[in-house]
Formats: sequence, structure tokens, C-alpha cells
Amino acid sequence: MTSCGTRAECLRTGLAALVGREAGAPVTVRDFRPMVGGTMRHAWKLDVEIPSGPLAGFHRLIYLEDREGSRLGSRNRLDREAELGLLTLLHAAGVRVPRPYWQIREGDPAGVGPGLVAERVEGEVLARRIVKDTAFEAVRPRLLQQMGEELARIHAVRAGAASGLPRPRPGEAPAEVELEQTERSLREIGEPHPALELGLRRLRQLVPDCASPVIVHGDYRLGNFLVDPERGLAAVLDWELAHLGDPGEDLGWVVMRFWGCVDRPGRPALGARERLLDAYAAASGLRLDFARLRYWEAFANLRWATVTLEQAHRHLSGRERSLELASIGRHCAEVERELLRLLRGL
Amino acid sequence: MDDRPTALELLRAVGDFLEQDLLPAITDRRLRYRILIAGSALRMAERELPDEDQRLRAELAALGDLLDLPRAPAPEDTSALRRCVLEANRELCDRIRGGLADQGPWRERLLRHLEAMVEDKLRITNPRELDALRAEAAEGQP
Repeated sequence: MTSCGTRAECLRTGLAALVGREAGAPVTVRDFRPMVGGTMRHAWKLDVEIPSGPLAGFHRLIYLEDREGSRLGSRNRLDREAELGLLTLLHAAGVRVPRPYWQIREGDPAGVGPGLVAERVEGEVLARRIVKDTAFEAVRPRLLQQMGEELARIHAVRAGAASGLPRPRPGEAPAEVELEQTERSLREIGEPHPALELGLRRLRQLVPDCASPVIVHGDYRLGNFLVDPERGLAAVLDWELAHLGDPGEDLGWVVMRFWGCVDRPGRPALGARERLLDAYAAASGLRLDFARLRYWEAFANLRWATVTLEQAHRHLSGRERSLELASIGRHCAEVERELLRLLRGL
Repeated sequence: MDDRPTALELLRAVGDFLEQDLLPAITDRRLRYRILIAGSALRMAERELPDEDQRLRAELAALGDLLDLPRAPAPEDTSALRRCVLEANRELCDRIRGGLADQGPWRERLLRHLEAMVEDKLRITNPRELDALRAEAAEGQP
């Protein structure tokens, strides 16, 4: 299509032009290569040297290229502008997020995008390695505490300042919004799933009040945490599902059985869930009572079960043929089992 | 048609090939991971195929009891059975939505039914997970 050669070469040239334009100086690209992982976006490692101006110096960056398809189904995802605004707000508030640099809009004259350029934080995201590899032995005992404290820091950021985030309508409880979205996904799938139907019905009857919604990450879990072998939690990633909601939503999600983050009988992981909950309570002053946490944990399983079905349907519909998507659909049973267990106590 | 190897035996042969021949020869982590997923999908199919009709018939009977449906002979062929189970589950969902499971003895019957069904599914999809879940239940989770 152009004279620059392979796709990677085109991107490299385009990004050099873009960074040069934004930095106000011609830059040198030291390294540019694709990174592994990420379901929603293609990630590229981008190291640049900026010779002069306010950004003079060496920058370890990541270029996140937008991709079609949706990871958590019909849940509203943030557009790029809202995400950049949120990351800027969180970064300024001292939350461990990669520093955002530039948003690239569709049709940028540099010939790249749409996407986002941000600071590249080094670390491991794979849950299995964080929980098992010897490299993380030293930080492992601190991780749950760090996750709890970081979540408290996120929830403490002034929600009023996060203007671009989806939020409940006046008088509407955050849980109602979440249940509505989950029900919409379930109806789109169109299959009868009585266990999920029962969950939906029960959780609708028990919707908790939430006087002041906070910034909810929306996918706060092992897999979205960058962990450094020495510092522990280095960054919280993937903010596309952020919204204003009930703090319980993130707490129920992070302790959900499926992620294998907190210990279960016979299945040790990073430690007892209380470690995370206590750290969160100490830092935020908010301790969810047993019933409220159970509510959100049941919701987490209901939503995740729905997502596994959606992912399988992305494969089955031919929209995105993939072995991984096909096989995740059959994990629904595990999640349903956990949902039923939690529903017995609600 | 009773030609050997049967479908099941073919699946087993492909599964063994993936795990015993192909996997050791691959170093790429991502590809290894996908081979393991492919292997586990085949094992799932191996566990599912042999008694599929029997399981569908049992589910249909259980749903008939739970929903108090008029007794009718279950269809013979698999796809018709599948349709019947689907329809009965749709009816079950309608009743749950209508509030019939909100309280009372039927709620308890429904929960038991759903727990039994999900265990049946796990026996196929992830028998190890089923053992783990039972061990957890025995220990008493919060």
C-alpha cells in the first residue's frame, strides 16, 4: 500500500513521525517490535530517543493498537479519549497506572492509529507465573495487601473529576446498571441458562444502595496487574471497562474463585482473601459486610459466566474463529457452580 | 456402520498425538499453550460422546419432574432430544423469571436440580475441577 515496506516498518515510520510531531523534535526509534498478549489490542514495544524539548531523553513506550471485537461483550467500553482522560487523572492522583502520552485518532496524518501511546511499565501479567514462579517468591506475600491498598486509592479518586465515565442515572443503583447489562448480554446469546436466570432474579431482588459511586476499574483481577519481582504491584492495566459504580463490584470481582488469586481450601494462591479486604478497609475506611461482599461475588460469577458464553458465541457465530474462545465456553459450568453456591447464602 | 476405529477411538488417537508427539517438539510457549487447550477440548469430546443420549434423556426426565410436564416418550434421535431439553430449559427460565423460584419448596428443588446438572457438566468438561469443588464444599467456604 505504501512505500515503507512491511506493516511493522510502516508503523515504525508512522510512529516516529507522530512522536516527533508531539515532542517537537525529530526522534530516533531505538526499538520497535510486537509484544505478546492482550486480547483487545495489539501491543508494540516502542523505545524512542527525544533529543531536545520538554520531553528530552530516552522513553520506554508502548503503542496499543485498537482492534475490532469486544472482550467483555456488550458492556460499554470507554472510547480512547475517555480512557486517556481517565489515565491522566489516575496518574496525577498517584495511582499505579502507566503514564499516558498520546491518543492517536483515526485518520492521523502520521498514518498510524487509532490507538494509544503510553509509558511501558515492565513486569509480569500472567497469573500462573505470578502465583507460582520462584521469581516472585519475595513479593508474593505483599501482593494482596498492595492490591487492596491500590484499589482503595482508585476508589478515593474524586469521581466528579472523571467526566467521561459511564455512570448510573440519578436515583439508579449501580447494581441495577450492571444487572441490566448482564441481562442484555444473556438475551443476545439467546440460550436458556436457568442457573444464570436464577442469579439474575435473586440479585435483582437484593440490589444494594450506593450513596456515592466511585471510580470502578471494572476488570480488577490477576491478569490485569503488572507485577515486578522486586516492587510487587507495578501497574494496574486495562481500564476500558471503568465506570462509576459500587466499590463492592471491584472487591467481589478480584476475589472471584475463577481468577485463582486468593486461597481456597486445597488450592493455595497468594493468601487469604482477608489480607486484601483488610488492606482495603484500612486504607479506605470501608469494610463491606459479609452479605454485601457475597452479593458482589455472586454478581462477579454471574457476569463472568455470561462472558464465557459470549466468547464462545464469538467463535460460533464466525465473527472470530478461535480455539481459545471456543474452549472458554465450556468453563461456564465451573462458574455456574460457584454462583449456585453463593446464591444459597443470599 | 460399525467401522473401526470409531469416532471416539479417532479422537483418542488425535489427542494422544497432540500431547505425546507434537507437544514435546514445540518450544514456542504460546503454541504449546494452544496445543494443551486443543488436547483438553478433545478429551472433553471423548468424555461427552459415549453417553450423550442417556444424559440428555436423564436431563429431560428431571426437567419434566421439576416442571410437572405431561409425561411423553423421549424422542429417539440426538438432535430431537437436544431440542426437547432446550425447550424445557426455556420453560424453566420463564418460570424463574415469573418468580416461581423466589421462595418455598420449589426453590429448593430447583437449586438441587441445577446443582446436579452443573455437576454432570463438570464431569465432562473438568472432572478435576469437580473434585476440587467438592473438597472445598466439605471444608466449608465463606
